[in-house]
Amino acid sequence: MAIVTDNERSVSGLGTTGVIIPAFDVAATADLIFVGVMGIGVSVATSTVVRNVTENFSEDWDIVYHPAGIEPHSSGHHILKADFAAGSFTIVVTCAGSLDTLAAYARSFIGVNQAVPAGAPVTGTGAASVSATVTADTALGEVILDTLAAGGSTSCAVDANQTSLFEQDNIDAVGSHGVSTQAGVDGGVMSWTIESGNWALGAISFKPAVSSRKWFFGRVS
Amino acid sequence: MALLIDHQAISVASGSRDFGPVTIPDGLTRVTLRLARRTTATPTLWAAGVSVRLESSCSLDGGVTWIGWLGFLAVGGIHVKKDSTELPESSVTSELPRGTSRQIRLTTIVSGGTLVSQLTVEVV
Repeated sequence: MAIVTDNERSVSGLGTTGVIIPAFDVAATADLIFVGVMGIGVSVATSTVVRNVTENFSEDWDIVYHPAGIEPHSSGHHILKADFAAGSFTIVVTCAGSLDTLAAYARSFIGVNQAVPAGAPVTGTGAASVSATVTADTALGEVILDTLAAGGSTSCAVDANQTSLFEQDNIDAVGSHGVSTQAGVDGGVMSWTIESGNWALGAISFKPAVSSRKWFFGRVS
Repeated sequence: MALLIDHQAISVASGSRDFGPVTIPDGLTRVTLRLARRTTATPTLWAAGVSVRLESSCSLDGGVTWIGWLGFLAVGGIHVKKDSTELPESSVTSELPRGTSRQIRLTTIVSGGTLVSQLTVEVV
């Protein structure tokens, strides 16, 4: 079964400790909500995602921020997976401090394997770089999403084999944010071209649901 | 571009207060909500310790029904950016739902004191 997108929304803020996406609607057949979080600022940016439901949720999350001493910025993702009933979710991303920039990108999917929804997330950081790259552990049929925060960069552009889903360039002269996707068949190298600056990049690969269809080969008499 | 609310002076005690609704011109696709922050040049605005949750909702049927759309959380005081400049406004931006007969309204939920600020709603 192929992984397909159900819904997507984004929100971005300046000088905030959190951003809110209310009324994020998902279909009854949706399997998972990905929330990519990007932030740049002086405060260390650990983030949490709050949702307005308690039904059958498990949450896996990963967050990375730049080493102390260099401008902190974060690029993380939160994965909410469940056997959804169709519903409307309030997604609230909160951070430990007030950030210069903070953005959240939410995308729900249908057809994600519910037993093992994703491979292990990969993260990377760099300083004074003109490219940001991580390699996701992926396979044919999977779908990769990555989340970039590039401090000081006036632009960000995805490389070949990736499709940009969300992009903010030169936000208030502070940096750039981006979210992109790639099909697993393309190998999992997630790379962005940026201006010279410090960056953080995270990526994760979602696994497709196993088809319940059974094939029978033989004669029926 | 249209400024639906343009630096409207507000003073909101702890609790919640609604603003709007205001009509969104057809064809515009993006909204930004802004609250003026305290800076060295504006020392009477939004004191440190005052927390704000700003939420907005949109109507696609002229104000009959409403859906939540975007919001932010922020705290007052002077926010110095990593480039050492002071941030004049906290803001949040998102795409608008498509349609006609659209309206937007806002709710501020304030804690820790009185929010003294200026509210701007811009659509492009």
